[in-house]
Amino acid sequence: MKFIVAIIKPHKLDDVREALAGVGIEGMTASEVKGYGRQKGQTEIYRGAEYQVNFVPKVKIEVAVDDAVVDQVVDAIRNAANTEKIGDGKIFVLDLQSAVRVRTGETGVEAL
Amino acid sequence: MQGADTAWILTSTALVLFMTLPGLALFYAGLVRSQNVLSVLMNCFAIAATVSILWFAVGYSIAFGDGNAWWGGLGKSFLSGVDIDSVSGTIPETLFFMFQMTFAIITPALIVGAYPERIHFSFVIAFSLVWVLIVYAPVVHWVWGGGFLAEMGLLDFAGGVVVHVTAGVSALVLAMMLGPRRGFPGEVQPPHSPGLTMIGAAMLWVGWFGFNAGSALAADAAAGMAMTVTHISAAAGAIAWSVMELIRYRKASLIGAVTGMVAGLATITPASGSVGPIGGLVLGLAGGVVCYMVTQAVKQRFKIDDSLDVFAVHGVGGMLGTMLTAVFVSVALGGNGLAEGMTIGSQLGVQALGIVIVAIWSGVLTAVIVMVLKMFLTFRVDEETEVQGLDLALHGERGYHNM
Repeated sequence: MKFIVAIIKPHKLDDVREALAGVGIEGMTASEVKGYGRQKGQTEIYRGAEYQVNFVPKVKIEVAVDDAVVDQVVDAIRNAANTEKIGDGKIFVLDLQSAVRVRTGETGVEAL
Repeated sequence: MQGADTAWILTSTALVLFMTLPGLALFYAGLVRSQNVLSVLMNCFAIAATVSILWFAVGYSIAFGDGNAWWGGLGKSFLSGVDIDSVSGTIPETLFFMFQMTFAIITPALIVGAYPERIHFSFVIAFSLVWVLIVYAPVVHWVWGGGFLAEMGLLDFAGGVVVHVTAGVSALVLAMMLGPRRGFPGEVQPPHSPGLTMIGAAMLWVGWFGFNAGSALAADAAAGMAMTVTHISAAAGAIAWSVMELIRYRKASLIGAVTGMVAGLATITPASGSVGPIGGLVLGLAGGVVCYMVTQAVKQRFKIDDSLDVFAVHGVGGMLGTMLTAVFVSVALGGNGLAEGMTIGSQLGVQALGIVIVAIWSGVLTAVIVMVLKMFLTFRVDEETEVQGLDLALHGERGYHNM
């Protein structure tokens, strides 16, 4: 099993959710995070004073998948989240040691 | 006793209290970091409660008692000698006492803007009470209680000098003695809720009708004109500040617009009983432009962390309006007319003298109060508390529960 962590632009969350549903992924976790990479922060102005805000709001998606569909899932996320501009984000694939369904106690792929 | 006057001043009193609770409280709350939102609300609320009792005990007497040209004495402490039938002008004296109380509450509450996010709560209360007692109440007496500034002919209809200069100068001195917030000026956190600030500002705009038009102390033509010039100045101030931002940043911000409105209102406050609508327009525009520039100067050139710009907006606005009153009171410019025997030049002199005397009084005494209180009370919180936020550390509460 693999654990996929993707940082995407917030307004792309719905597109990614739909794309994942399209490849059979029915569950995920999304959280609001802040980050920066090549897209530096921006300057915000309040009352005539400039504030340099380094961290940009992003959304982090986490989804656990079977090895067999990893590439499909990564492609689905990437195509849905891509705006071809700096700041589109990154996708990380981690090895997932185990998974358990809380309600039934099922483990492994049955838990996904 | 006149029914119409009494009804209007009853209403004005409610409007001016509303300016503090929750108008000013929300205005300031939106400008600080989220972990300090409750501390600012608490400062305003606690000042309202404690100053109310102080005003009842001795404040009103010092301001409006029958003393001499310098102070009103303690003859009316605890409203002694004032009963349900006592009259002040055409309204009950209890009502005049109340109307003035709401001014006595909002003036120290304005100073909250100088010290948020790093001052200790007990210091806030102690400072505010002593300040009202020895700075504010005597100045009220000098200007409105028949004191020496009134005798000089100082024109200050609703508190340009009494409220805005006292609070503005004191705020500047306090901010300098307290020191800046951690990370000032380069890494200060932006306002956490500009929406909250606008809501508070909207309440200030409406409430100011009670502040200025209520200062006519009557439901009459003067009140109508005061309301008119107040409103025009508020609108003009907002527009002027926004234009300054558009020129400088190509964007007009909400916080800028509402701050410009406050600047316009602070500027018209002393003039609201003297000038006509054109004067209101000019003062509003001038306030928006001048206060915008001073805000930048205080924070960026002089590096003083008067965090919520009390001096730049209220202090400078009040001073500007007080001076311009002498010009726009003239009939030629739409005003009520200069007092008997005065010229624009001589009136300008009186206005300037009033500003200088009150500014020095406020600044020096604020420094003294701070130095004395520092010996007994914690002045500034430690660094860890400042970073964590005052809400949890000083009040045991969180403003927002995220998880």
